[in-house]
Amino acid sequence: MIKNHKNNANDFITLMQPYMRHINHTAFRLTGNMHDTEDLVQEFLIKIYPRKEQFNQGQNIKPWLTKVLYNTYIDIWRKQKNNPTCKKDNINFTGCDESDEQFNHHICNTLCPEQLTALSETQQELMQLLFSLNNEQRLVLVMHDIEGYSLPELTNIMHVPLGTLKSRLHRARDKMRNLLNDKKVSHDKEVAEG
Amino acid sequence: MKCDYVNLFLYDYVDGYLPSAQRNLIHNHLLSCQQCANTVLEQQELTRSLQSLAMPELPEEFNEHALTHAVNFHENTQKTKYFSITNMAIAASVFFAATTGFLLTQQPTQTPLVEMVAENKNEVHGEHLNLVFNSPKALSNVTFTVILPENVEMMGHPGKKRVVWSSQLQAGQNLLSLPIIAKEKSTGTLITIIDYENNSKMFEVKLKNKKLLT
Repeated sequence: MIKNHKNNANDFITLMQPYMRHINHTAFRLTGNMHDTEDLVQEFLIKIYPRKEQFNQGQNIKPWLTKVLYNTYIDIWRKQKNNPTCKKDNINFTGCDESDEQFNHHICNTLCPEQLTALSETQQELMQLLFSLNNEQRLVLVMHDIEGYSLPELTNIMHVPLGTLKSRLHRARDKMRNLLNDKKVSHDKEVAEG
Repeated sequence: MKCDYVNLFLYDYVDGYLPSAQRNLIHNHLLSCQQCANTVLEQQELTRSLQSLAMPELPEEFNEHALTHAVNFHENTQKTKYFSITNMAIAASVFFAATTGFLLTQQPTQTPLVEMVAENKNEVHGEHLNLVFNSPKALSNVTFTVILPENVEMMGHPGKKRVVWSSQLQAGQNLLSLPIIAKEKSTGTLITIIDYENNSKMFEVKLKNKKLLT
């Protein structure tokens, strides 16, 4: 029994090690902070362990792992959303834009100051803009523009129709570009005023 | 070609989703329209910036720890089979068996694993009712509804008799651990309804107070 356990552990660790960097990075892109990333990855590994037999050697399993990771994230997120004591309960998941208050609440709870200060000023601004999007828009932007999945791949990963994904992606990009342009205008104005 | 029309396809152009004929039309428009060309450049720059966002690394030992924990989680669950999974719960059940408390009767055909442990107090804090559901296949978009009997509450949902949330089931056994608080000597039926793929299944767990039965 002990030997079996040890073999199972070694097999699973050997199997998963090559993908852990990808998993950790994607988890961070989804959650935006290290603490939630660790929780998400742990939950994901617990979920994936019983299905380790589905790993076929030579087959590209990254999209499948990403899909399970994404679903795990959504499960956790929904649980938090439905739990009135949870820190993220005010975030809107239905696609409407959040109010400023909700936006600030989200930023405060998702990006911790230590992580923000580790980024350059430009990257801090970008990160904050990214998390000012509603969850649906942010997720498709992260998965498509940062993680590099195509929209057809994302329909499978995110269980959302192609047209819906595309419109969310376009709205997310419009919003990001508008916010960046607004910031640039206000920055230029400040410089001009001395 | 008008900018309004071109704008509808600019992102598809950037992403390479357009067929070659349409792509050429947009490309030719961009050669003569600075405004649309700027939009494309802005989007390309935004994507580059997002992709270059710093990516902090998790501590080195995290991977091994997390992987080992996942293995232990399942291996320990298998060893204990249909019994409670935590030491605390086992300890509490011993205490419970030795005195009084709550006795759980099962619906064996529908709930393969059900166990509840509770301390012999008027109000029970932080105990879990463990239910295991067998699913023949993985199911996404599963809605769980738990209807609580009198004098029983779920932690985090004070005063609520009905708690609903969405989750998923994996193929095989799925543990649902309900953090319940039983006030006073409770009896009644806890109902769990699982809705998935246009199906709905109801599971009943009868909670009986041992003292009341004797």
